[in-house]
Amino acid sequence: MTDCFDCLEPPNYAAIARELQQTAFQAESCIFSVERLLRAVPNGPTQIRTSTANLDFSSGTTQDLRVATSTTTFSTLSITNFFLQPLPAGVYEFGAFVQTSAVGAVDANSYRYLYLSVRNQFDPPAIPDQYRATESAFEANNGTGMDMCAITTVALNGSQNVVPQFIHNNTSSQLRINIGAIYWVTRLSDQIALETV
Amino acid sequence: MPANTPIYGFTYPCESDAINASAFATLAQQIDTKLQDVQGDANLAVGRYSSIQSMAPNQGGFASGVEAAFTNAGSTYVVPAAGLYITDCLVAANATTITSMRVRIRLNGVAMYGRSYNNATAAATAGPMVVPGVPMVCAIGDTISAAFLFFGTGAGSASLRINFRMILRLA
Repeated sequence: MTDCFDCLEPPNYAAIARELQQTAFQAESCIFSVERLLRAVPNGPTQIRTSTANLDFSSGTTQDLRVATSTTTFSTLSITNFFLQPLPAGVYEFGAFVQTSAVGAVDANSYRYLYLSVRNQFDPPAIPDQYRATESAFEANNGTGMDMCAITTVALNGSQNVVPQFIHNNTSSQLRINIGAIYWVTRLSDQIALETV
Repeated sequence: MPANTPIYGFTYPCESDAINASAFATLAQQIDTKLQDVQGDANLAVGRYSSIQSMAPNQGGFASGVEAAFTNAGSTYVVPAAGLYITDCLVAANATTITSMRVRIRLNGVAMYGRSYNNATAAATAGPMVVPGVPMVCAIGDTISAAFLFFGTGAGSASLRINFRMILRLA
């Protein structure tokens, strides 16, 4: 007997049709299991969210970008919305793209900081981020705004949220995160790698 | 009448069917064919589709304030299999002066994401600047490319190193 197929017993030699049927179903079962594993292992659960509204905010205060309405562009995550729910424990890539423009007057060379942060699920706003990666840009004032794009890798314990945030010092007017901002996560692995002997 | 398994359609004889060598041959061939598909899955799991490309030669003729696509050899990628792909790139530019530049990644000619660079000293060179990348849902045959925009004086030229990697397979 192999892992997939049962050997014929002497009383079964006459039941060839039944044995072929059994062989066919056993082959299908074995191959299906392997095929599912091979497809699941490299395809880390992933979710892409796209904002559906502009978000305007004033300078000097860190703005949580999740407040802008967003839609799920793509998802194979077990949770519906990683903006609202903590991600299952594991190691993830977390990234964002935003296109910013001043609502009114532009302050040339003023800063724009995009934060990719990790926060414990129930921490109040006053508690600092558990982790923060920063993408910085300084307004070029060429009439096209500033595109900003960042990726980071985070290890999550199952009760943490990934949070995109933003702060700027364009004091002459509010800054706009334009509709169509993209936020995404993809799971890379379990938190703890199995020991290799 | 022979019947078929529900997932892969492996054929097996039923009680009333006459059994001959072809029943064995058919089932064996079907299993062998499916195993080749599984081998393909295994190959893909080990070696995901990816490409590292350097555009050659560097591309010139960019006008200040006009966004234009990179078109020289090595600047584009035709998606070989449906999936999520991340494209990141590295760009350096030259002109008489450059005050700012922007690179955007396009999918089938449509801008998807990008990054801007403020060259505050207005030097003749800008960058290199990295555009980190965002996953894009791609179908087989889609084209991924990049576009360049700068502000300054003189005609601009730019180098491009662009990387493509599949992070999730859809088919």
